[in-house]
Amino acid sequence: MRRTAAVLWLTCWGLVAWADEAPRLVDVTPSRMGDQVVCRLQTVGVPGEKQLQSMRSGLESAVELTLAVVDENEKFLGGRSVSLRMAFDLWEEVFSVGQNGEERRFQSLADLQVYLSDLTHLSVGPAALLKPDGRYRIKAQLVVHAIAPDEQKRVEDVIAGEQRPRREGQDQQEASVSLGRLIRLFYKGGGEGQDGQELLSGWFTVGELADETH
Amino acid sequence: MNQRRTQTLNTSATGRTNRRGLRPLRLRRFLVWVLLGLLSQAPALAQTDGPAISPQTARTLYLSEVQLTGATRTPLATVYRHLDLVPGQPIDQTQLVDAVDRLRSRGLFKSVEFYTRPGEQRGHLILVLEVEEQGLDFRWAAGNTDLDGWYLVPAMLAYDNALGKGRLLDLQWRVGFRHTALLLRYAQPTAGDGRDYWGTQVHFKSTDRPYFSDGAEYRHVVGTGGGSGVFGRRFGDHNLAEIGLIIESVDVAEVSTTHTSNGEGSYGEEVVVPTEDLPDPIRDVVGRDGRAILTLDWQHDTRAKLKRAGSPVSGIWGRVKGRFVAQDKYSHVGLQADLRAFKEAPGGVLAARMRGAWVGESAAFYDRLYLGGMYSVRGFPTHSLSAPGGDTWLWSGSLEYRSRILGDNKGTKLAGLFFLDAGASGASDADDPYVGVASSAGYGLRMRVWWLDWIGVDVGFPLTARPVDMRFQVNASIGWSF
Repeated sequence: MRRTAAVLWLTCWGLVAWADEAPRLVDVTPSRMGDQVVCRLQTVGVPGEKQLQSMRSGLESAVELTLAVVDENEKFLGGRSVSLRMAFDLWEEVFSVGQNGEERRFQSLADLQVYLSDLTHLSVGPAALLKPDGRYRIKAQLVVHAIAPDEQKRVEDVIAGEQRPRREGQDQQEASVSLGRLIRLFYKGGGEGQDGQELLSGWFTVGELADETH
Repeated sequence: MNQRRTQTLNTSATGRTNRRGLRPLRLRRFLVWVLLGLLSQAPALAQTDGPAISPQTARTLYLSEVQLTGATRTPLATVYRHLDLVPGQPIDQTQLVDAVDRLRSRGLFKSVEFYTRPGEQRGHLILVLEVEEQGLDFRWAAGNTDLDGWYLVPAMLAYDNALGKGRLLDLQWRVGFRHTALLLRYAQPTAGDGRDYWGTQVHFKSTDRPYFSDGAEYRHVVGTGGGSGVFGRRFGDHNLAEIGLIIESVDVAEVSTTHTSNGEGSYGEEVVVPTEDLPDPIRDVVGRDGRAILTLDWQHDTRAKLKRAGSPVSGIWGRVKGRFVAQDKYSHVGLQADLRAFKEAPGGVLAARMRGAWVGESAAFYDRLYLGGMYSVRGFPTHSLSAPGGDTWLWSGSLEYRSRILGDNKGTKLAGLFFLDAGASGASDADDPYVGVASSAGYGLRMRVWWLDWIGVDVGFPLTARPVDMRFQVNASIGWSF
């Protein structure tokens, strides 16, 4: 029923909104499946215009979702990251979304948008992390890549900070970072994190979580 | 999904092979298009999974062109040179991402965002780069040099790609463990056909050179100022050759300063040692002099990009470097060879280094060789295994086992290491040039600070006779020892 409603909603005016809407999260709803805390993410504008262009040229695009359970002090209790790699087969003309080695295929862009606008049963962490009397929220972050990064990117071969090229052949190693960038990152309280949109769910207790096992 | 990716890679390989034989490719592509055309007329058939729908050769992607937006002074030709891509070439996702990573690493732009658009034909794509030009940038840096150890750059003013040609310009004030310097640098990391590079710099540098005598440590200031230039060329993926010229003045202080007491009451700490009490090789060169240095350098590098515990998992890095110093009676020739090898081992990486060097007897003390310290035998203080006037030959070797202790999504965050170092040195013009092999063993830690570099500490324990009364030696470092 919920999926049917989502299809209708998108079909009526969601497609119009999609054309000029930047990819973003609009709602995070926590629930429970057995011993796991799960959540439902509703998005708009995914895939974005540049993602779609890249997919239509034959390359993979990606959406990275970072999900975390935080307590009243914003303390991280548990979480995980989900990477959705989206592609368009130029020859078979079907869209696909890959996650953890599994692939879903979609015959049309509208089908893909419907799927991405309502991501359900995303595991966040074990419910055992939560105390019966504690109040929690789920923090979700959305990062969009027009071109999916290499999954085996060799991140350790460069210093993670902003790097200035080294001239080859020198008798020295040197790394530098822009002070402006450094100050901005420290001011934001960030570390090596990427820019992305964050959204928090409403407060909940373990007892308030709807069980979606069945 | 994995299966699909494998197919893509295979497709690329096929495409590259067929570039040498265009006729079979065109014929096959023609047949594929005919088949696809027929299938498009038969929707029921097109829904089935048949081998004719996805022939490998037809699935190759081609780069039509690169479009640049946001650039105000950098021409597209400069960007092509750094991307190392050519319109019309077959391309896959990995190649494209690597090319943009390469462009980013060259520092031409403050930021580079990218996406692709479909080209005029199916399978042809246009790479769109959205860039922001570099501006004047205040930076902070850290590093280490073979000669001067580690240093910090508390103030650095950079204006990269100022003329849109990809050149790097910066003025930096460097403060090190044993030296301070002011440098103005201008370099082109990619020139000519993309394999050449060059750089120039003006420097004013002051180095506290340590030497040991009678169990005490002394520091002697040697200042240099001048200009230098290098020109290098990469040969293949693994070799480069470089020629350099330095013209500078050298100013050797008239006095030394004690850094530690010799315990005999002759000198306490921070006491000035007058010229007449300096060791002969140092006293002889006190004052200002000028010189020209020609360097020839060859490097070979097959180190793997993939790292574990902050180290390449395989490969070697090697160098042979020659120096010709024209400096009146201190003119000399110097040679050094350096070989570093890496191999993955259970739980970590084994790293080994072997270094040998020789300088002519006429070399002044500041051009001679010294043993001991962070970059040679770590159980002993820097330069403590050589005479105050330095040595004319040296070899040292190190073996390290490096393992990850803590990690994050960027890789290793904290690594531990065990090391074994050995080395020997001597002066062919000394009475007793051979003083025996010195060795030490110890452990260390390296931590990756994302906005800086690897920083670390090593604790070395001497296994052979100690020239100074220290049971162990602690070395702090920025970066790895090798």
